[in-house]
Parts: sequence; structure tokens; C-alpha cells
Amino acid sequence: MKGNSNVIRWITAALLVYVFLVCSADSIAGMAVSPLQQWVTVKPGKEAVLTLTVTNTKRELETRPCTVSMSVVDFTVSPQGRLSFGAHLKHSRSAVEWITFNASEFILESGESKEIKARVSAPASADGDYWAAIMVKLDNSKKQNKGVMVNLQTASGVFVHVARRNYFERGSVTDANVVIPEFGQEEIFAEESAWEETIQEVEKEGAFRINAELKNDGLVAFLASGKAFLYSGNWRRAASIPLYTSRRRIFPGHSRWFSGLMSQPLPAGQYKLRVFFDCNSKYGRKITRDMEFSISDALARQWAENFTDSDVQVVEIEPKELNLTLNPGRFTAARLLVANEALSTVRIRCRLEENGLPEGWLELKSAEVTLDQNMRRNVVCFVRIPTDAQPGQYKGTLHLEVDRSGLTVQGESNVERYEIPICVAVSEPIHIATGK
Amino acid sequence: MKTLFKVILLLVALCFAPSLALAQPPDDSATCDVTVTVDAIMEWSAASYADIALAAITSQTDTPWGSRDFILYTNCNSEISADNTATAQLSSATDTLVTEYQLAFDGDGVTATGGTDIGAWTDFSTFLSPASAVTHVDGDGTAVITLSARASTGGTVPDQGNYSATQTLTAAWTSN
Repeated sequence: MKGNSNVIRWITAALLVYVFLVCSADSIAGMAVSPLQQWVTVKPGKEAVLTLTVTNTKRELETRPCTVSMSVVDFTVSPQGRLSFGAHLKHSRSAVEWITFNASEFILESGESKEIKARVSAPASADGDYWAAIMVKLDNSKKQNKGVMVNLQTASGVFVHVARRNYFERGSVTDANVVIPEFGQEEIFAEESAWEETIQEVEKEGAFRINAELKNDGLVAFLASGKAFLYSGNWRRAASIPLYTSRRRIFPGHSRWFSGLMSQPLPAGQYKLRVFFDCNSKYGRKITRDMEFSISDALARQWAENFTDSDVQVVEIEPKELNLTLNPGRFTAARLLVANEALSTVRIRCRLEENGLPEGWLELKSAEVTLDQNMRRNVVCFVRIPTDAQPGQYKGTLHLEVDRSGLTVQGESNVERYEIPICVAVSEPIHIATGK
Repeated sequence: MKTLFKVILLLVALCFAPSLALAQPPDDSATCDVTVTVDAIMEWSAASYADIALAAITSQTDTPWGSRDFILYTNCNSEISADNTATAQLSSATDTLVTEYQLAFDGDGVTATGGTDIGAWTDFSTFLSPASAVTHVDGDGTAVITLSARASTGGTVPDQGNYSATQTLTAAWTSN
């Protein structure tokens, strides 16, 4: 009998160990980080505080505690718009040493949320824009000696503006080239410089491409947008091409490649090309660069033969109208999906006409969106209903001006206009009745 | 006795202040404005020991591979990059293996939150370079991301032993 009870005890223990192992292997831990980027303004020699929230969301019963580690790291943005993180990327405008917080490693219980307050101390000599990222890592403490261990982390960008004086956005076009399609063989570069990542794409395109590199020579970051104009003899405008880049915000000292694509064939002849960049400057400064190229008769003929009308398709917009039913005090984001299905770059300028909508209820996240070929993006419109808003129907309009690459007609750009009706129905406030 | 005393005390209280004791809440209504602001959120979710186990290499032509699912809960666009340093390459104390990765999304970024699959095996040094875009689609806050890893000998006979690597997936913000 004693022997039997020992066996039962061992089996029970083994079962418990098995259950523990199975459950722990299937249990989940999560790490939510918010926000993903934030801007802080601080005076020289002063401090500011920023907040980052990290949460281990309880999504199921088995959600386990997790260890989170946080560190401030340098990051850089490549000319192609790629982010890279790491201590080896230290630069002269790094804000890493300015940012301090108490908790660098902590355990988040299931369902627990932690608000991390970080202090940003700008030295007295600081001037302009600086940046760093807070890297939040979900620790995988299990050490293994074979296979691939996977770590998960989220980067939250911190952009520090040290407001010493008024700043001018300063930039220059450091490089530019055009890629002219050559049918039947590989395309050639009209100028000596080359953008490696573009070559393979262009080989498939059969379209005209302009690449230009914009450098920020100032002390503050700016949001850039670019456009190229083609002129035939006597500076008569022949075509316009919006320029696309994956990251429009260019930090001081950084440069960024912009590219524009046009599938419509150019007639034979000599062309002048002017690249314009707008740095969102309040002083309206433009940065330009000029270059020249020519299209031969044979190329013009082949280009025209290979061109299909489907390449001129404009954007698709969904939905065709925005209908929102909201309570007073509600803040939300409405989105429109715009898709460019053409072999050309397009720029979409957005403008709100509030009509019957009170001022300040609607706000566009970005007034301009540029799409590369076959790209789609959301146009985001924030809707903020005041708490004292009266119930009723409010109407407005979102105007979209789609400027696509292509030959101009009588010197005009290829602009098509869309109107998206917006209807906001403000409902009665929620009444909570007590008693009875 | 004590209980009796308490009952009597309660009765006395009821007699003196019946309105208080039997009070009904007055008919009233309260207006409640519920407002909440949701900021951009990015959440990684993973099972414990979320590592990729690979079978043993027993011949020069073996190419064992394995995969793991991770969930990205998000309400905004983002991008995912990988570690392209030697840390992400399978290595032992004396040798290295050819290490390649793939990434797949359950959504295409058009009809559901997700992105474009990196369907071809890509060397660790160029994997997710440039970063993979994750596009958020309204109403869908979840993207299941499958990371696959593959080892091969590269035509040589590697040294005996255990090979390990650490791959780091980084989610980051996208541009305006």
C-alpha cells in the first residue's frame, strides 16, 4: 500500500510539472508602448518632462508578468529614409545624454500599466533640434545555446526643440539625376550619379524617373515636399512630376532622396528640368536645381508605342463620404484610404471646408500626402466634438487636389479635384438616471 | 442581550428619523460626457520562450527551418526592422552557418492590418532592409507576424556543436 501511494505521489508530481511547463510555454506576455513619437520644446539650460506609457495588456487568463527594459539610444535616418538604432550611431545632435528616467528595467504584472516620466535637460549651449529614441524591450530572459532567440522591441522617437531664437529652414539639393527609359535594353543614367536602390525598380518600369537628394543645412528639422518641372524650348512647361520620399521630415545634417516617376511618353527634343523643394518655411523659401537632357526620335517613338492609357489612372478614394455619429466630448480620427494604382507619383493636397461645421471640430493630420507608384495611404482627419455641442447634423467638405505626374496641357499641372462630403451627427448626451 | 439592545436602538433610530432610514433617492438625472483620447499604440505580444528551434544538421545538404508567430496590436502605421549584425547569424564558438529569414503577415495592409510578405529567404545581413511597412486598416488592430529562420551549411562541412543566434525585431514610427 505504501508503495502504491508513493507511485501516485510521483505521478501527481510529474503531472503538475508537465502542466506547469505546458502552461508556461503557451502563456502570453505583451508590451504596449505609447506614444511612438513625441516633440518636446525646452529652453536652453532648462528642463522639460515627457511621458511614455508601457502596458502589459491582460488579453487572456494566462497572461504572464513580463520584464521590460528601457534605454535611450541614438538613431539615424538614411538618405533612403531608413531608421537605424544603436549606440554606434552617436552624432553631434544627439539628445541621448539629455534624457533620463528612473525605471530602466521593471516587471509588469498581467494587466499592469506603467507611466514612465522622463526628464529632458537641455544644456545652455544647445541650439535648434536634437533627437533620440527610447527603446522599450520585451525581455526574453531565457538563454539558449542553439536555435534562434527572438527579441521584440519598440522604438519611441523623442524630438527635442531647443528654442533659442527664430530659425530659418535651410536646405540644398546636393545631387540629382534622371533615368530615361531605353526600351529593349537596360535604362541609362543621364547624369553620372546613381541611386542604387532605384536601378532595379526602374529597369521594370519603362517610365521616366527623376531623383534628387535634399540636404538640411540648418539647425531645425523641416517637412519637405518636392516637385519637378520639365520645360521644352523657351521654358515652356511640358510636364510636372511630384516627388515622393518615405520620410519627409529631414533633420539637421541629414539628406533624403526624393523621386518622381512619369509613365507618359515625352516627345523628342531638348528638355530643361527644374527641381523645386518646399521646406514648409514660413518665409516661403524654395530650393531649386536645374539640369538638362534630351529625348531622341527613336526613343520617343518606342516610348509612345509601349505606353498604355492604364498608366494614367488617377487615385482611388474610399469611402466616398464620411458619416460620423458622435457624442458631445468625443475625439476620434476619421480616415480615407487613397490608393495610387498608376505608374506615376501623385501628390494629394487636402483642405477642409467647414461649411456648417463649427471651427475647430475638424483637423487634418497632414495637409499633404505624396504617393509613389502602387502605393496607398490614409488621409487622417481628427474630429473633436466639444462637450457643449448641440445635438444635430453638421456638414462639411474635404477637398482633395490630386496632382499627378504627366504632360501638362497648356502649361497647367495635371490636377484633379475631389470632394468628400462630411456629415457629423451629434447625438444627445448620455443620460444616467438614478432612482426609480 | 447585546443583540436585543442593538435591535431596540435601530427601532428608535427609525422612529426619530424615518425619512433618513427609508430615504429614496430623489428623481434625478445626471449628464455624463465620456471622452477619451487614444494615442498611437504599438504592442508586441509573444508566447513565453518565443524562440525558433531548428532541427539538427546531419548532412551537408540539410536546411532546417522553423518559425514563430508574434502578434502586433496597433492602431497606427509602423515599420519593422531587423538586426543585420552578426548577432543574427547562427554561430558556434568556432564556425558560422548561412542564416536566412522570412517574414509573413496575416493581413495585406489593404483589407486587413499587415504588410507585404518577405517571401524569399533573405540573408541576415539584408533581412528587412529596408524596413517592412505595417499598414493599419481601420477596425483591425491586430497583425500576426510570422518570423521564419533557416540554417544551411553553404556547401561546406561546418564544425560540430551547437549554433545559436539572436534576432531582434524593432517596431518604429513611420513618417508624417
